[in-house]
Amino acid sequence: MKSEESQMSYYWVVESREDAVRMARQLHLRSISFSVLSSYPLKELEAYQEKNSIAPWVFAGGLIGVAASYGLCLWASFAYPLNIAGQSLHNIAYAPPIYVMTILFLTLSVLAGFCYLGDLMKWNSARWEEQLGHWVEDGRYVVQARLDPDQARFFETQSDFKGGRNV
Amino acid sequence: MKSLQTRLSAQELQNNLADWSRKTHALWWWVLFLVAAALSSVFFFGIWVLFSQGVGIWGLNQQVNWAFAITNFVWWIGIGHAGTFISAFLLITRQKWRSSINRSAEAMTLIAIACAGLFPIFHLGRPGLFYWLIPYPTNFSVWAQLKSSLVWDLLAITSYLVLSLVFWYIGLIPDFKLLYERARKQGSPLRARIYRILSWGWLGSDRQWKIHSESSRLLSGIAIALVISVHSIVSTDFAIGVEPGWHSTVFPPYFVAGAIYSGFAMVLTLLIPLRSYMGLKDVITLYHFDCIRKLMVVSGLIVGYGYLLEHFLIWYSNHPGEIQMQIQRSTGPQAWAYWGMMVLNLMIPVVLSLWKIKTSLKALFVLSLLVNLGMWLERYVIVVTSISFDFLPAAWETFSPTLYDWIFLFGSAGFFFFIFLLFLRFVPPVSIWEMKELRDEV
Repeated sequence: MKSEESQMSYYWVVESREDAVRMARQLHLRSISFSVLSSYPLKELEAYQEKNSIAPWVFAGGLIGVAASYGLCLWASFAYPLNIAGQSLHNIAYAPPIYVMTILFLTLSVLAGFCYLGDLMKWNSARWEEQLGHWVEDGRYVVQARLDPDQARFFETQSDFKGGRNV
Repeated sequence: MKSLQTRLSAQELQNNLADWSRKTHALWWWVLFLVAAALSSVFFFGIWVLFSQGVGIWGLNQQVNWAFAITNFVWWIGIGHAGTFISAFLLITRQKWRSSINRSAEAMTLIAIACAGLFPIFHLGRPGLFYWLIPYPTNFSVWAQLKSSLVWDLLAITSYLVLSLVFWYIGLIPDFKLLYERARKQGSPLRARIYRILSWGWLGSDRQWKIHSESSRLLSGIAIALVISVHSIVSTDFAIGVEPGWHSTVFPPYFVAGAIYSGFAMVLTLLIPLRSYMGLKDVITLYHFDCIRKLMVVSGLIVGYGYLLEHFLIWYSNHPGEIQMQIQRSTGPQAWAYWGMMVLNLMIPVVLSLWKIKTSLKALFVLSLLVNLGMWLERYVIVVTSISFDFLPAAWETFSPTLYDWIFLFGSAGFFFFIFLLFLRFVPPVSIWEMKELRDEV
């Protein structure tokens, strides 16, 4: 097996959605990591993607939200020098603020997970893929894979890759 | 699915939608924008007078100490619900027709929440000190009262605003990327730079799309919980009071249904002219309006059922205070509002259910305006007539709005349209990537 140093990123611009999916399937079958750039989601590729999920982020956000909001109610109840209208420790009237603050934390955790797992907000790190955006804007698809030259030559001979134009 | 088909190719669709921001230089946009800007100026003048002179500028009195401000608050927050409903419920239930209207409806939600959030602040005795509502340690050792419905409102509106903003923005990111590419191609470096920043480094890779789709679904689930809870919390602002006409367990479900009903009416009010003025006939079809009409019939009938149940409970409770309040409400000096509400909100769902209405957009537009009016009257009746006639007949007093009450109502509407027109100017009013996806799937 060749080392990763010999690998390069290859990019194919594809005209049709079907061709892009076929190429992605070929790469997936050979356990080669790839990405497909498109201007809308391609549902067919969902099965091939990594198992990254935002769910743990949301779970953590929910727990923090409940703890923080309940903690706030408790703190405002007993660590508070002045008691106006009676601030009992556990009160059903604390349910609405705890509920909505938990939702606030859940929302923020989805946003944080989206940015982190989606590799967003990295304005300072110039990415080569950004240069390919104009192809996608024109309604095409870009298939990208890290391959060594032998692998690249092999895929070039595959019928599924005939529709793609190497850029 | 035939009804969702468009005769435009994917690229034509994208070009048309991405260039909306340039087409809004049209005369109609400028006329509406100037009218909205004038009304907004009046609104801000009203706010300045309010902050300098206090709530005495309104027609409030000892008895009716909640009136237009709270009516406007509930009305605006209700209008916001349709956008969340379209984003969340229709996404979870995989209703493809939402793709054409969700962007505008979500923008409507955001602006409506912003308008709604201002009114509780205006209604504070010292609005300049609104930040005292935020629970934070101060050197006064005074905490916000977390059992108060005012603090509930603050937290609920903040959460609702943040959720709506995040949902709306996540949907916009792929479109900002497209706009960035277009601006680059068209040789407009400033626009390209702005759109690049706004797109947060989006590439459109399959991995990003997966995370995007998962985020949208998760936010939908959270939004469903919130869309029900926010208006329930708003309704408990009244229901936890012991006033006749307020102290009722029927309020939360009937407020939520009313919110969706009025929100969809506002969606129609905005989208029917938008469709013709912006040439969106290939994107927003009669099928979309028919779907909205059906949802309005259902939510309107729930509201009507809520009215009947409320009347039944007043009779069944045999409570003298409640019965007197109801008699005064329907025959007293504010009876015009009560009968206006009853006629508009009970009749319109019936009219909307007529088969021919779906083909007449003018009729739908007029009906949507009447629903907006009817739902505003409903909130006015609940807020004002209930406290006008409480348990102490000697204290009964009615409410007469002043010029400033009307300024705050129409000024906030002007402010709403002002921001909405700016949204049309700078952001595609229809989601480009969702339309392309829909076109491929259909």
